[in-house]
Amino acid sequence: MRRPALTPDELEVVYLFLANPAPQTFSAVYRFFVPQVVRYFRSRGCEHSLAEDLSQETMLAAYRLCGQVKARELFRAWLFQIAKNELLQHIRSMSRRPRYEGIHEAGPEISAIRTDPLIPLQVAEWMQFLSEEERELVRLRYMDGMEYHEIAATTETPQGTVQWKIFQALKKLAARFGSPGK
Amino acid sequence: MEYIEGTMDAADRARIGQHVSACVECSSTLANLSAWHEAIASEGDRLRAAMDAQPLDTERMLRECLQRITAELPAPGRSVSEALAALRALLAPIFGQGTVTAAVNQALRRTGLAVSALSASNWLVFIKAFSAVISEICGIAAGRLADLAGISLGSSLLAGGQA
Repeated sequence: MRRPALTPDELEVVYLFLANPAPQTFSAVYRFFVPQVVRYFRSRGCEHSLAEDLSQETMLAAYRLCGQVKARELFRAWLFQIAKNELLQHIRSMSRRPRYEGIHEAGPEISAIRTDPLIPLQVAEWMQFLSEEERELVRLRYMDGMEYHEIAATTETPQGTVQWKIFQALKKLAARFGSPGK
Repeated sequence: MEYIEGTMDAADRARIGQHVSACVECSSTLANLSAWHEAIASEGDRLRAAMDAQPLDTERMLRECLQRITAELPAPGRSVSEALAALRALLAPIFGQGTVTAAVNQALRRTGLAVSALSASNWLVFIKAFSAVISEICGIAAGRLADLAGISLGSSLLAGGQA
């Protein structure tokens, strides 16, 4: 079952925080959203400790920049934009080194997933056959559980285009593998 | 994707369904894509469950985050009059300007306070009375929201600040 868009409790704490950005109102937001942010980084190949570090930076940036949120319904989409920038920044800062510290090379999600026996291999193998853009859209929709309008806001792409590209990704997998059971 | 996920409106869904039921190729393609949609969704659910199973010390992370916020970005203090104005601005769009004004006045009467006498030390007393009035007018959930808003604003009051 995919997670719905922001729940009423999430909307309430976001509303109170945006109306009065303070440590007390931020704490409620933090408790709701940091597990989702950690999961965002983990599903993109980050080891647990790195995912925690990047999540902290993401939440701190969210506190500093909360005045930029355009609508509380898009708070999670905005938060994931910050998370994406944090990840890109980390990759760039590590790019001079022979290995990306804390991120598995060559198909990060594949290597990271293979180290965890609880995480299914199937999705990793399917994702290999999609473009990077398609992989990210599929991750946002099926693994992060975002609604299409949230994905559109996160990726700054029209909602119809998001739906079309995900549809094309499914067609690509169907053309490559036939049915998902194969 | 809307048809596959079942979120398409009834009229469009009926129109497409009519074609699909008559077209063998489209029916087969749709069935296959629906299977892929369900398979990836199912794997996504399992991935989330597996990741959520790893314990996350949220409270420790929150403490560390708040320490950094306090060190880097101290919360601005505000006067009671600013807090009262913020309370009105925050709740008026929800409950209506008139209701909020009436609730503020009623709360001041019940607590025996004048606006000029409101301070950081009696702010919570005022807020309790205010949220009780809102509860009476708009319901328990509304009163709870008013209480939360008032407490949040009270946390940023300057010590000893007066209205």
